[in-house]
Amino acid sequence: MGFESVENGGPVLPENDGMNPLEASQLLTDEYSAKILLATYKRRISAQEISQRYGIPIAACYRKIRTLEEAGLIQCVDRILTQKGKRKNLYTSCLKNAYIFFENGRLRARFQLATGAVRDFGGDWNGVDLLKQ
Amino acid sequence: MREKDISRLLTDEYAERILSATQANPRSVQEISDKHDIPIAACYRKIHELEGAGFLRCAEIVTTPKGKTMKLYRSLLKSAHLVYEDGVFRVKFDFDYEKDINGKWIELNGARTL
Repeated sequence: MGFESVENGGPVLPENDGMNPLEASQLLTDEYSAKILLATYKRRISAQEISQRYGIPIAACYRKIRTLEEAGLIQCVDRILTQKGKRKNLYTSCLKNAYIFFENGRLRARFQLATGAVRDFGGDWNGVDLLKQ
Repeated sequence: MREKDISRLLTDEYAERILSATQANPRSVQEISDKHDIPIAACYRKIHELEGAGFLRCAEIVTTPKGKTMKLYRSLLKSAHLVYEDGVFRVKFDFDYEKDINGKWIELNGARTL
């Protein structure tokens, strides 16, 4: 399942300020967030389109997009002009892989971004034999 | 309960604390509520939800010095793994008892199937 990539994926960044493993995991298990991550996977798409295609109320859609953007999991790649002359942001996912493990009563999360950067939440991932999973 | 709901329940703030608290030893609702700062009503509700989903079991019923009976709960979840790779979500659970989904990777939504 490509776990090898976890072992030697890019530089490990310091723990993200303010986010604990639970909050990090919720970015993936929240229904709307998960849908937005899938909607923006290898695609450039606007908030309006995501909202319509995936049945997410528009206000919630904007809010979740902002949360995901702040966490660095999606980014705005373009601002296009619509026919009505309005600006529209196009988003794309920057998340390559994510791992959320609950073991021995402890929750850990690891995000691998498209840039190769790795962000860990909830402690040490060294020495974890992911290949054995 | 679907796998997707299970993984969401796992990352629920209170549920995660309850599962961690009951991992090693059976605990009472009152004890969990006090130690882990969960309002008592919410604690009862979450515990029932987790019990219904097969995550917790009442392991013991004890009598307090005041003569009240008290249930002690223990976590049945050994491990849970949620993985997102190539635009696809997968989950794997391992429980302390025979369960059909034990150790199996289950595919949730993918970018293509959604």
